[in-house]
Amino acid sequence: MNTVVDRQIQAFRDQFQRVRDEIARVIVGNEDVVANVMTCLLARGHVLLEGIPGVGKTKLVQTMADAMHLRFSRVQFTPDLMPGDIIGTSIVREDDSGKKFFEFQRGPIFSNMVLADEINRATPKTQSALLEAMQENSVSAGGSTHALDQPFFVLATQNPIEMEGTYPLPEAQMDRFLFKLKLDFPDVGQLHTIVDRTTQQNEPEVERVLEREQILDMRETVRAIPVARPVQEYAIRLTLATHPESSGGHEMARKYVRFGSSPRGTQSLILGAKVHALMNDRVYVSCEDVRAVTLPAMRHRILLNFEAEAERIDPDQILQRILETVPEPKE
Amino acid sequence: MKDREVIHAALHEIARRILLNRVLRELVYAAGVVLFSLLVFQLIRPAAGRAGMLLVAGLGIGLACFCIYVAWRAFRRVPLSQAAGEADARARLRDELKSACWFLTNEGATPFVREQVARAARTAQHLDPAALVPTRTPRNLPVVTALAVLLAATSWVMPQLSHSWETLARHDRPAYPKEAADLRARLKELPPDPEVQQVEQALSVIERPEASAEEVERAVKAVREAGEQMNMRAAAASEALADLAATMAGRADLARAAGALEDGRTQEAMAQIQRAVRDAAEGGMDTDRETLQRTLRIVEEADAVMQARNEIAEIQREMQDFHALSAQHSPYSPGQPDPSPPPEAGRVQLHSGGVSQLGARLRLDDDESKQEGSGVGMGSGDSPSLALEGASTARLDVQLQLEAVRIESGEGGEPADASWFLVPSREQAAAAGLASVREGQAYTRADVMSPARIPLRQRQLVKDYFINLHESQDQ
Repeated sequence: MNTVVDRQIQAFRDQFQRVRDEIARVIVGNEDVVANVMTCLLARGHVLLEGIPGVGKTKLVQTMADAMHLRFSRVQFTPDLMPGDIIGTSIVREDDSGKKFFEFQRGPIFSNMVLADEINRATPKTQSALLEAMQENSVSAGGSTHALDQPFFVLATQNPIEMEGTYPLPEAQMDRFLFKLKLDFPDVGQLHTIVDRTTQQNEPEVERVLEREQILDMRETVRAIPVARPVQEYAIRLTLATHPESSGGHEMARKYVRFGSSPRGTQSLILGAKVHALMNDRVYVSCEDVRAVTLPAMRHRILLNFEAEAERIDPDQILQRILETVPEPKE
Repeated sequence: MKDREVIHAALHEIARRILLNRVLRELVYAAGVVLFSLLVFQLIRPAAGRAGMLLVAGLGIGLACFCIYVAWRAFRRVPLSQAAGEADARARLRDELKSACWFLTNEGATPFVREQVARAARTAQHLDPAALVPTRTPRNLPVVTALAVLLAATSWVMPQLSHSWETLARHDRPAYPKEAADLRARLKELPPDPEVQQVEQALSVIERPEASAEEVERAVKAVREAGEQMNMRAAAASEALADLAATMAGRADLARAAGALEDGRTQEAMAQIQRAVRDAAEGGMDTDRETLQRTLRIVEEADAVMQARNEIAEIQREMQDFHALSAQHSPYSPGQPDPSPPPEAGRVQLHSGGVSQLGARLRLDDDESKQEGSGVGMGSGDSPSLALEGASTARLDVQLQLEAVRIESGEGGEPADASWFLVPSREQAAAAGLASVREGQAYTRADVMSPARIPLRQRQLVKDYFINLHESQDQ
């Protein structure tokens, strides 16, 4: 018996899968990253992408925007980039009668998908303008507030090398991103495929497989997924396990973590888990879904201490240990 | 059936099975702890001594509290949410039943919740609780079984572990009250001599289960002393009978009785004397009859003493066996001195002092005109009777010959009657060597007079002889 919910879930899965397949025509490998970017989009979050230059960060975002029929804009962050360059600025215009007036010229942020390339190269002031827009889904300029089009989705990229002259995002700003994803360097087979696809006359192109309205419906579906208290309890336990001062803090967190995840981390876990559950044809969130999104949802929310830096411990190692040891609620 | 009922029915069955397994596991665990405690208690109980009862009380209270705690743990209710969690984990349902269970009790009925519950109900319908939560034998059951076997072994195969502790609690008191009672029953047939009463009193002490080890030791010592006393009395009686036999040998009508006495056949001797008494009565010889009657009484008394000595010696020997056996069971005994008498203690010892009065009386009976002064001294014991004041003295070699009468060789160079040759106790042997007496027969007077050659035991006799001789010369 196919209920409405059944059909809704089935449609969600189909659409999700269609986008993934379409992106896979252009982007080689990194299927998990693609899925996680989609998860963020559907969970109304934003993504921080981290990877060395040339691994396809910009291409991924551009392809995704093409596949989903969304308006796409790219901002290359530089030290001299000003907030107005992102959100727009008021300019003086003259009407037919010669009367002058201010008109707000929308910046590149007024798109559905914004690629903030190398966000850590801009000054904190410019970064804050973007991050405020991400949080509020609106822009205030010239005494008026301008709502951003939905879906509004920011993909910020960070280059982990060449850190000189950059302005690393403060932890509070990092917290605004739902997921932090790492793009791995492609392996030999993937490199062959990349070379084959991009060095010939006809590069593959993506088709539009998802409309804006469908994305908004999918977002609503995600929010409708119920979460039982035991599963929520598990997500909270994981969050608390990252806190060195907490009674539920993990041993490794006590040793290597200066500050644990914020409550936004728990929200990210649940939202990401909901999308993961839907993708696996479930109408409820399980602990397994929570575990599946723990690394991307939490890794940028853990601030390591000097000891961890000295011992080259990264947040993923700590989170893996936490996942191994924190028990699921039994009832 | 509604989704809720389907889910609840499945979860109730799973909860019941979880409870059953938990009860089994907890009971076996509790049994293991109890058995282990009992085993440890069994092993340390002997060492606990008088603190045993305190230990029992403490252990009992502790185990009772533990059992109550285990029962509470085992029988507490299994909530449905726990059953759901268990089912999810075992059937790899990814929290489906757990979530459904929670939604059924807490969440509003949104379409997604209804859908989830419906899906969970379908899953629950296909669950096999018996396969999901099978009744399992607790893993520690073999250990508990082994403990039970071990406990049974320590309780039954090694009874001393379970039974000797009371004995040990009374400071290694040797335990043979039943045997002591049997021995005491045998004393009832004996005449109420002081020695017999002493033995009876000692056995009654041993009979008491609450008697301490010290009391038992004292009782054993008293029996040994009574036995030695009885030995001396028997030795004296034997000598008296020998003297009597020598005296009676001079009369033709008592020759057979004398022979019987010499051979140790006192019953036959008594019969002969009784016949002589009757003959004297028929012949109207009143004086002779009275003498014969006195002789008969002496023989009867001597016979009773001999019998009592034999019986006490037998009792003493059996007590020695029991005591040694019970001492083996006691870990504290080996270090203690052996309270049992030496092996030769059961034999009658030869004492010179015991003969004196009886011999003197017989001699007086033979010729009362010879009586000078009065006979004094003890009829028993190893102290010699006092010499008759003013009595005519016999030659020293004669007296010494009398002393050695018991070891006169019979046919073939062997003692005439082995029972006459009584080995003295160690104490007595230290005081007087019988062999020296025998060897001394052939000594010259000078040899005899030499203090170094006179056995300790006979020095008093020699001294008395010379004192009397001196007094006789004065007279």
